[in-house]
Amino acid sequence: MISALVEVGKRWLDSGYALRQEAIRDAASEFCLSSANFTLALDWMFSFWNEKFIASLQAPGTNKPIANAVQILAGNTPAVIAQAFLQGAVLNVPQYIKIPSLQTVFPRLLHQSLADVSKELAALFEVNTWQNNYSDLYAKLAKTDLIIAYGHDKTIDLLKSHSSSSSIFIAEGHAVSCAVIFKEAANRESLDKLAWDMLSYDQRGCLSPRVTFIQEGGELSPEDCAAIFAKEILPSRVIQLSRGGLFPGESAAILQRRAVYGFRGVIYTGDDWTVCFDKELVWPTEALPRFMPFKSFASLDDLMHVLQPVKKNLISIGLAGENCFFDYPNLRHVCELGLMQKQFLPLRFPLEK
Amino acid sequence: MSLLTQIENFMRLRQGDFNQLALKVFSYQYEHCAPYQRYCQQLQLTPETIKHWHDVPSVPTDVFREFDLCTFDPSTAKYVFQTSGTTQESKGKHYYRDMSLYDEAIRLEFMRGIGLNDSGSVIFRMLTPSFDEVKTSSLFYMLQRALEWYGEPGSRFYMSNNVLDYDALQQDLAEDIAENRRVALIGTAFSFVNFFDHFEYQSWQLPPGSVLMETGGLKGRAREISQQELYQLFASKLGLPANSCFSEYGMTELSSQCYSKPNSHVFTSPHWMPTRIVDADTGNDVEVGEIGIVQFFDLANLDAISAITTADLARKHVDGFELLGRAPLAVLRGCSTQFEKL
Repeated sequence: MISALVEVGKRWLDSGYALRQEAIRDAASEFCLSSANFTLALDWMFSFWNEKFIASLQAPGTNKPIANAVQILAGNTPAVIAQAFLQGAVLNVPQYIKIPSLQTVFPRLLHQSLADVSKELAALFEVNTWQNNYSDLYAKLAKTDLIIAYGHDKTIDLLKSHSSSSSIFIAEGHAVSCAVIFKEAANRESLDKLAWDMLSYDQRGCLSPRVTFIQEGGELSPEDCAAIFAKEILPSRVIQLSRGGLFPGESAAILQRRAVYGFRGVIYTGDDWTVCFDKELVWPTEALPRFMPFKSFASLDDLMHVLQPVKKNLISIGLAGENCFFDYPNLRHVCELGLMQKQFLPLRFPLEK
Repeated sequence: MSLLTQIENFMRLRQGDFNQLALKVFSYQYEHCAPYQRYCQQLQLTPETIKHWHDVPSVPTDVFREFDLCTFDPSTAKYVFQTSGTTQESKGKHYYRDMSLYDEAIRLEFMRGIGLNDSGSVIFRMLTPSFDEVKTSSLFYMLQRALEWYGEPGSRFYMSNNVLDYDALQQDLAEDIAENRRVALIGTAFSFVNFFDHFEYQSWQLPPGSVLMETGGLKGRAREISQQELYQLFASKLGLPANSCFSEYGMTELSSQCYSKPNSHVFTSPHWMPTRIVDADTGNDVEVGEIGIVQFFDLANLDAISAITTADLARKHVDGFELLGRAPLAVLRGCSTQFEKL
């Protein structure tokens, strides 16, 4: 099985692979990503499909026997879909994968590529979209050993209510990430790394930084960082990694939020990006594509204070400078800035009683 | 002549040039509203650089949730109108020290807007609280003024302490019908939905010349029905044909209102508050038939900000705009929530 998965990964990393080309052509727009961004995503996602990494995923996460599984996927980024198939293959049990109704091309192509390499492997998966009638899904949930659900917290609660009490339920609900630049790293190099974290996936994933916190007292002030990021770094990077489209309502929301930040502090805008700086040290409310608020903080205490309200949802922090410890329950990744998106989040089995 | 008088003259008589007046209003607001001035300076759009009102920095309604946008000390305001808000989010505020332009907008547009520009008598049946009870609602202010100025004795509000007095309303409507009194039935879209739900098996045939005005959105609330369904209910439950039913579109951040044309869902705005339907990406006007964000320049907003960007989507028509609802990611709000909170 591992060799089949490695072969699938190799194919997807090959720029001449027909299904990869088809995905770049037809699936990128389903995620509102540009071809360049989707291509980068494919390269990152399938870099994990190697023997060593797949072997590491096979460590048992539970003592309970698992004979079947249901995976319910959200559609923010293709990474969740690639991860679900890899993780599902490693589980090696029949499973039902609910894919987002607006993002069907990539999961179907991936399923097809599994079938091309190993019919047995592909047969593990029954892939379907959300339907208006949920009774079929609820019936499956009631008799499934393992349920992995991505999406809004409310959706997850609903799914949980339809699952059996004996099943293992792995919830991947609302999650947010941020970037933190400590004063010793407040420089152009860190900002360049931040650009990749901001631009890849157009900030649509839960691993994308929603906000950048910069410590005062460094080589560049937080205000200067925002200005240099907007005026020097982003304009060159967006040429390499152009933005995709916008979902309905996003342009209106960007218009509104740009003005709010314009009143609060300083705002820099390009055709398809927004950078703002203000001194109000609060977690931002918006989650918009290519929209990066910069906030300054003086001490670690200040930083911890602003993260406090979101600590249950904080999943990833990209760091530059000091490597500090964050004691948050759902924090899965504290990584170097520039690598926030290049992550694979293994399944978190709930603690067994 | 003061700026206020110039605006009043323009509102009443169309005296003067709108662009010149709008630029004067912008200069005044730029000079006296510090947060707005800072914002305009950042955009490098100031009274010295702007020659046409289209270029005046337009302020999205979200900003009113965070900043006091007025040309005077807000602690001296006579009235503070607030957006409805649905949850714990902050509310947008509109400060007034002088109601003369707001009142003028009501005098000039309200009765015309609901199809009652003749001099005949009318009795108002308001499915809302009075302004005396909810002093923060611009809608209830407008309705109370209209009732005081144009309503026959017996006109009244039927909601108090968040409870609609269904029995009193039913009884009064029965009397209106018996006496053949012309009725203006006014409420939020949701108050009508609840009214019809309450009297599920009852209907009325309102006297000839009666009209209805609904306001507030229907989207995204607990029981969603389409505008078309609502108008069908007006016909079947109240005997009011579509040409007797009117929609009003207003918001806390504005001092003037838009009304739908008879037999149509196309809104028009008064001449002192031109509307633009713009592409949110480019800020340019969309073509007729295309969808964009609704922007206003309301001269009657003299003591606040005149150039307002809403979070509402609309399709541009030759003679107005058709409201399509809130842009999907915008914060849900609207007058209807006042009723749904019950």
